[in-house]
Amino acid sequence: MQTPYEILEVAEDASDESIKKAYLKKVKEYPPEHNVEAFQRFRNAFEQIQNEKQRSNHRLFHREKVDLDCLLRPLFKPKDIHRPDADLLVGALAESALDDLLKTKAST
Amino acid sequence: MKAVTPPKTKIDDLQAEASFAMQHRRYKEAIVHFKNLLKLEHRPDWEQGLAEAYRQRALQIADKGMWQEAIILWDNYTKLEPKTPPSDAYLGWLVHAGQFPKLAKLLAEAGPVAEQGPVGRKLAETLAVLALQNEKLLAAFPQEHPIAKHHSAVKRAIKAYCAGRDEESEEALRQIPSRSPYRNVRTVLKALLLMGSDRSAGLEMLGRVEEGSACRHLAHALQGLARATGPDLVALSELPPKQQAIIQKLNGYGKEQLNLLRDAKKIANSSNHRLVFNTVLSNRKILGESNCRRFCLAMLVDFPEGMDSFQKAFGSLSAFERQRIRALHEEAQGEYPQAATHWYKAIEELARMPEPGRDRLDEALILRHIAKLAEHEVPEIAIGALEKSLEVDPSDQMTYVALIRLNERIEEPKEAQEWLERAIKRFPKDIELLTLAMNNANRRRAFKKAAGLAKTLLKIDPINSSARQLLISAHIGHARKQFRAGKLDLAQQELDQARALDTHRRNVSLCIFEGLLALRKKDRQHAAGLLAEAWRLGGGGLSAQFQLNIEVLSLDQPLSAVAGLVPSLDKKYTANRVELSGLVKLIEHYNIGEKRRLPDALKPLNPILTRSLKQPGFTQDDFFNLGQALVSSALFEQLYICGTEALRHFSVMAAAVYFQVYAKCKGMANRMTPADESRLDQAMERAHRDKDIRTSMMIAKFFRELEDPLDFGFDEDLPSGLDDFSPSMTPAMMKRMDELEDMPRAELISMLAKALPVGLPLKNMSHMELMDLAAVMVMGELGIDLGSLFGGASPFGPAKKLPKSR
Repeated sequence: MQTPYEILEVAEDASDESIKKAYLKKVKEYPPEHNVEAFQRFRNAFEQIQNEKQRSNHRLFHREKVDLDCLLRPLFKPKDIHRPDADLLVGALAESALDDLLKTKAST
Repeated sequence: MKAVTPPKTKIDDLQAEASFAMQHRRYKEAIVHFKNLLKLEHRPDWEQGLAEAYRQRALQIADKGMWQEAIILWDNYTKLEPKTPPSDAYLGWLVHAGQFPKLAKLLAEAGPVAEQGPVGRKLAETLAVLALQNEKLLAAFPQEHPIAKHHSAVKRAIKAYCAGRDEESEEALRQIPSRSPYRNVRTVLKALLLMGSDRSAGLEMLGRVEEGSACRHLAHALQGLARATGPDLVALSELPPKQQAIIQKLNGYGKEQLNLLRDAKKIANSSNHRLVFNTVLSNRKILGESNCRRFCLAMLVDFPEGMDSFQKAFGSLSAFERQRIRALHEEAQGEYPQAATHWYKAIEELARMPEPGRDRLDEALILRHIAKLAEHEVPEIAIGALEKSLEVDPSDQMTYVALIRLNERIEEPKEAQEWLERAIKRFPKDIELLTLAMNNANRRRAFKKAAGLAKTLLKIDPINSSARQLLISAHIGHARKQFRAGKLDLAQQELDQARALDTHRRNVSLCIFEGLLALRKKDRQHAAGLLAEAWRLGGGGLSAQFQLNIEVLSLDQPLSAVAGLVPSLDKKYTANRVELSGLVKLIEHYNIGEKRRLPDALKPLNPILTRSLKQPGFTQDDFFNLGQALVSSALFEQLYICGTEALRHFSVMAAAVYFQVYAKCKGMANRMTPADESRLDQAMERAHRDKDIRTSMMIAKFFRELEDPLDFGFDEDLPSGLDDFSPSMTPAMMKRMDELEDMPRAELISMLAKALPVGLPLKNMSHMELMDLAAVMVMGELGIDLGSLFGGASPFGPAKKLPKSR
């Protein structure tokens, strides 16, 4: 789960001006008419940290979401694809096939 | 099955028993009976019966998961009925029982036709894949069968891929036709080959594996591998062992990652915060210090018990931070008082921190946050917190607004007024505050002040409609005074100023007034034109008529003065919901300045009102809103009509009972008969049951007046010990207070100033405070000894009789 600073790619001690500049840059890259979801994300991030009061509010009261998947996933991000051995591949294929068939039969 | 020696009974008896057993689904018995029959004589119908019994029994025990037994019974059945093709159920039992060679033999014997349907296709694919693992299955298929024919090419392709000989693998895959039972295996291999160089192309290829394919589970798992964001770890941890193993192998996961994956499976979707926290903490080496710290810090809000472990692992948290986390935890639990306690402690810690500039803003923000937590349940605490926040950060306009609104909500108008004035001083050009001040002044009948604020608003915001309307009303108000005093030219000047603000000619009152002024100046034609315009603007119905009536009366003119100049309402006229809503708004509007005229303005419209309210289509809310407006305007005749007609439509409407009783008693609770009290009591119970809070509060307040006749709705801190006040004084007191209520502010102040000692700051008092003083003075008029009331000489001196109002 990214913080508003990470979303806008600014430092946590950035000034109002830098934050605004970063936000406008994002809007230019992701204009709302082309990418509503992304724009909304940047807009929400900007509103949370656009001035000192907002930043303080965010720092004091914002509850960061506990996202285990977010924490773990980068560790399992594939880099190079390794080769399995043939028995393992065939075994996995067979397992997949049996799994599927038994589940199908159970449902009919 | 235990052999049962057939009793020596007749054939008919056996037949009957077999038939009975079949009818009652006792197939095991039926089998025995049929066998016994066939021992006596070989008859086709008994053979058919036995076959059917076998079939049914097979289905019966397959339902219990006894696959092997079911298969045997089914085989017995098909021996007796050899033309029966293998059913899906039977094939499924073979799969469950692991009898793949038999399955393969059946599919081979069934021929290509069996593989046309979806079940046959799936089975063929399954057997093809299983044959890759167990070549003995191939023996069941003739050489030309695709499962046997394409087998070696697939094996070659797999071997070559696993050995890194991509070209060889691709060459082997080209020999597998698109309709082969191995077609989806081919797609999976192609995808794996692509993923080495182009992850997204591999992902796209995996998407081509057929949805009903036997390979789809593996294809889905592999898709996670190909995603840029990485696999869904929960899904990965829940994969069957070999599929999980291959994903791990393809990814090159090491021992640490495998352990983490095992731990991830334990804690995924777990609600056990301790388990999750500790698992993450124990894996922080592989997760990374800063990621782990961030995660655990976020978790502390749900699991503050982890604070010690956190600090041990990542270093101390400041005392402020610890209180902040505990406060957020309590908020998450909905424990707002405890949350507030921790926030206050956090503020104390802030005071000890070495950065004063930053602390003050944080302190103010925390106090405002506390106010938000408290405002619904304990607004007084919210007010205290907000006030303190302004001491440290006076620059927040919203805090002033919040203070004004909260004080109004808890009926502290003086406090609200003070904050409003302070706010205006600080933010003299703030539109929201100026609008609040303007409306506040208007409510207090400080019309000159309200007009001044309206002018200020219009300078800043020229299109501000509420300021514009107020100013127009102010000019009209002044024009009325001039008109009543016979100063027609001055009245005209005021109207001209009002007209300059209403160039679009939307203000009905203004139009009426201009017409009446023209009439007074004997210009009947012009008057008729203006009054007709006003009639049209007002909608030409009940509201328009009412507004015309009250405007005429407000100028001390008789209603007959405008007879013939405007259309009159048809005798059978009925108003609709929209008109009724408009009427309610007008009553509320004129209740402020022209309360005394309301009864005379409405009375001629009683027949129309009654007839209208009899019509279907009005909702309970419509009656409620009308009733409330009539209550606050003390329009008892119309209120009774409203209550009665509401009950005609909604026989159990509690508020309607209240309106009737209130109207009957003319707003005086002590006039209720026992029957009225009983009705109202029942109505209140009904309101409670229906969770109709507003009605039950209205009735409760009325009952309270019965207990405390002095509850006029003014300051509740009236002195106690009013033993001299007898209930018989109430009507007189009420009448007197009504008169004073309508009195213009300046006149009221002047009157009180004469009666009271010099030095009281009457001009700075709110309307409510002036009325409180007036109430005490009226008590003196009625003979109450104010000296004994205040435990000594009256601070206001001996009571004097107040001159009557005009």
